Amino acid sequence: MTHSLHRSGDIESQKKDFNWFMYQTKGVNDKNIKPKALEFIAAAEAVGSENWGDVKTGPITQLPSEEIRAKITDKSRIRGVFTKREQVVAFLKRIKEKDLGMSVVITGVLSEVLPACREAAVTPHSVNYSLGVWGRKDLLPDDVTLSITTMCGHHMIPPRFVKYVMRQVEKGKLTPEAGSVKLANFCYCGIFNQVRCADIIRKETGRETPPDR
Amino acid sequence: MIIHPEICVGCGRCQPYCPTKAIRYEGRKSVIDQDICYECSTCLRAAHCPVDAIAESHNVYDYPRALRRYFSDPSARHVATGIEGRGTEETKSADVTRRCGPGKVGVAIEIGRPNLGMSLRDVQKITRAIARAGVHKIEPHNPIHSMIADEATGDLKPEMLGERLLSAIIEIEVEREQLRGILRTLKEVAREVDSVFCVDAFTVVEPQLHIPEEVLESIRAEGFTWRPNAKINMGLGRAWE
Repeated sequence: MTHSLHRSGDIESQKKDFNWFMYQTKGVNDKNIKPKALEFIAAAEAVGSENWGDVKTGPITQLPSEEIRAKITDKSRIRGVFTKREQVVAFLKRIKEKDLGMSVVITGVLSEVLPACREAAVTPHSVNYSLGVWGRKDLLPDDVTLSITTMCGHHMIPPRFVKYVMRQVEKGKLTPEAGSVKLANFCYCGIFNQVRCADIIRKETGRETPPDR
Repeated sequence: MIIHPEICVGCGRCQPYCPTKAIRYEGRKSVIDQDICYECSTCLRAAHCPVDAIAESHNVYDYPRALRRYFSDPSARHVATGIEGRGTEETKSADVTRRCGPGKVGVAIEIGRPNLGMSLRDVQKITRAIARAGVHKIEPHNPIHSMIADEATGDLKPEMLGERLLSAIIEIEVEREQLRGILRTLKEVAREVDSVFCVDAFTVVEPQLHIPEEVLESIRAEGFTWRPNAKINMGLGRAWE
């Protein structure tokens, strides 16, 4: 469960945040998945997937993509990130044409994803809505921190570490991009959008990346 | 997780890496509060202790403490289900499984997320509330299913109640006409839970990308709103020949 439907933050920022997932179904189509997983990765890379990974190994922000590919097994979970609707359309067209038979899930802002489905001539089967957060919301971190931590569905990103990265960027010890990769490496799955994260850090700290870094 | 006191040099580098603030100074050394630790192993994996003082607890796989690891470390496989993670494939492979078909709504309650984690006592508050509302069947492939001691009351196995997890998911399936009652129940139990939970509602999409109005009306009627983002199954999966 990637929790990706509960990503939070500014809506314009979320419009640049899509997750793609390949799913095998236990006991149905979960044997010898590697060739199909490699097709998914090839399609995602061909359209510029900014991050991807396998929960069993890690994300490409941390490991060479060849290593992740080599370690794919039938227990792997392959998923990643797009930042543009055009990438979603092109990815869906490629996967549909390949007709691999694996389940495909896209998470994102509905007003972006549904038109992408129409454009790719894909008919969704089902939709999973987020009905928000309930309970002790008074205990939650601030909204900016949440917009970053919710990009790891397993919530492995400590809010304290987000603050630490923000301070390092403010002091000029890290660029927004380098800080966002540090945060991305907490997320095993590769669904953390480090491009969006760098935008959030840049906006929050007022720090631009120096041209020579 | 533990920090070997004879090796720790007290640099404190590991402390911001803990998702639950379980690592703190005791004297001049970092220590991990065993009551709070979720056994997620983030400190071991990500903090890169300069003297390798961080290690697994000797009892990490002892029951019931092992539940912390199974629910909090995404790379661990839950022994009860063989499923990695905290829930099931739910909507993600529904085009293949045909789970939650026309006339039904899937509801998932993701407890402890975002960021706070929770006690299994909080999970029990919700399983009990759902049972009182007349829903006694938790999705059988979800790890929570095997932790229920009494389906009629929603009670969990009592020996588990002292454990803390980064998150868990309760997954149920209801008829569309039951959705309002369940959402009302969740609103009420939200006042009792000492953490947070996210609510998901999962439905099939009808022709012309039409979302069933009965589902949307139930959501609106109980004062819930759906967020602009959602998880969409593209309908491209099938059983292999």
